[in-house]
Amino acid sequence: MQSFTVGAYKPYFDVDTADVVERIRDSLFPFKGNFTEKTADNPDLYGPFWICTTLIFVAAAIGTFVTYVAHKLQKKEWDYDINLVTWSAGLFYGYVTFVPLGLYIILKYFSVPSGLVQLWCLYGYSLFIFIPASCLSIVAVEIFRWVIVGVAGSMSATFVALNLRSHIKSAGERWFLIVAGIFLLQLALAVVLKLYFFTITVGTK
Amino acid sequence: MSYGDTIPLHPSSQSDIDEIENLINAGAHSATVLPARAPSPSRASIPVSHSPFPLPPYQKMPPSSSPTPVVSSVPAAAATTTTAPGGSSRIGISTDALESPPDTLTEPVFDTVKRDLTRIVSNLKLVVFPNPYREDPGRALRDWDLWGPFFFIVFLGLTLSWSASVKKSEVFAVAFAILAAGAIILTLNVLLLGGHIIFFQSLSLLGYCLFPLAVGALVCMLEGNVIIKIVVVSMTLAWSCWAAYPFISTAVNPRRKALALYPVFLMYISVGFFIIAID
Repeated sequence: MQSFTVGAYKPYFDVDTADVVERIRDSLFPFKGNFTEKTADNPDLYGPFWICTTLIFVAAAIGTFVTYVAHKLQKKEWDYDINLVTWSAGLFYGYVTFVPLGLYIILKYFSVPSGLVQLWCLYGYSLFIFIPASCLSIVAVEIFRWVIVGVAGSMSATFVALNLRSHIKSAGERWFLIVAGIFLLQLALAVVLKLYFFTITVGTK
Repeated sequence: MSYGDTIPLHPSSQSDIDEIENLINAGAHSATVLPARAPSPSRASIPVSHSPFPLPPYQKMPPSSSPTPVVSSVPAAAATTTTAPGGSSRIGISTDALESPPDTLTEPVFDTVKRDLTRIVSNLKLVVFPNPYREDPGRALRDWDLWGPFFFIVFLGLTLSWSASVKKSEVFAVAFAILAAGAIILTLNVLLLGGHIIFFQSLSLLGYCLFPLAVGALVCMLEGNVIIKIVVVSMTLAWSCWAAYPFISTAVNPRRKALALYPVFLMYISVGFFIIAID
């Protein structure tokens, strides 16, 4: 019953504006690797939730705009696709909720437990880089879009992997597999983002 | 609805009912015009706030959609139940007429509807056309209601659905879900950040601030040109954000003001974008 009160979750929202801005800025520099230490005693869920929500909106908005422009340039019919919003919501919320959960279970299995909220915090902030990447994907050049998505995906994946590395190293000889798995998952998310939102096939709609 | 017609009365209850009718008739002579707002001090659920952070955070108030508060019957009933413990529940229900304008059960439907509409209009004026120099922005909407927000959300959903060329029912469903869930999530966000806000009052406020966007959606439905749509939606969006700003910013710690305001702006911007994108 306790978990249904607002008070039970207040400690996870105990951040000021300056804290959130600083954490976002840290997520943009993946090679520092000290995000988990900084947030160890005060992980927040505000950042992950609202970054996710913003990303859903930005991806859906820019994806819609891109398809609109592509259709108009070729003088074709265009209808708003409401599924863009719902599917993107499912994708991003699902990713940020279940991948850290899976990682938590795996890390527990390898007896190097990490706090679940810390993992959620880490994954949530790692998605921030996709927001500017989506904005830049307005440019209609296909190669440019792939490059942007690749760069953002690898930055995000490096951020997650490096921050967990010190933790995972103590897992024994399997640590490389775990880190590689994390890296690939994040890249896969970036690719799905590109393919679903920013790949235009005019005439099949 | 009169209990005397259908249920055989206990002998002692008849005298109580006579006593109450006398009181009602005595009161009816003094108040013949229904006030535009139900008297707010009798509603136990709304605190009077004169300081920035007046409230403990977790007051969850039951929404009351009728202007005659049943809550007020409790203090009134306490005063009159000394005479007849047996009929106390019936006394409780009929003595709310003492606190609120008389004959709310027997008045014409038009009067009830008119009272609700007047309240919606006055709340709208307070929220959406606020006086920027008022002394305490947190004091507005003491008589919050949920009818206004409900009308605006449904109206916005319907307008978007009419404007859409395909998948009309999905559009309505998504719009309604986003607006309703969004209002709840925004309120929870403020509460979790340690802000002081009443849950349903905040829902009401966020719903009333949708009014400019609803007007914008109506204009966009009638108008076809994309440039005009963008201009209209931007203006109404700015108006909605401006209307919502004082209520949210006074509810939280100033160091977290941006954290509380950003999601509100995000929701209104996404609704605005939705309005433009629906062809």
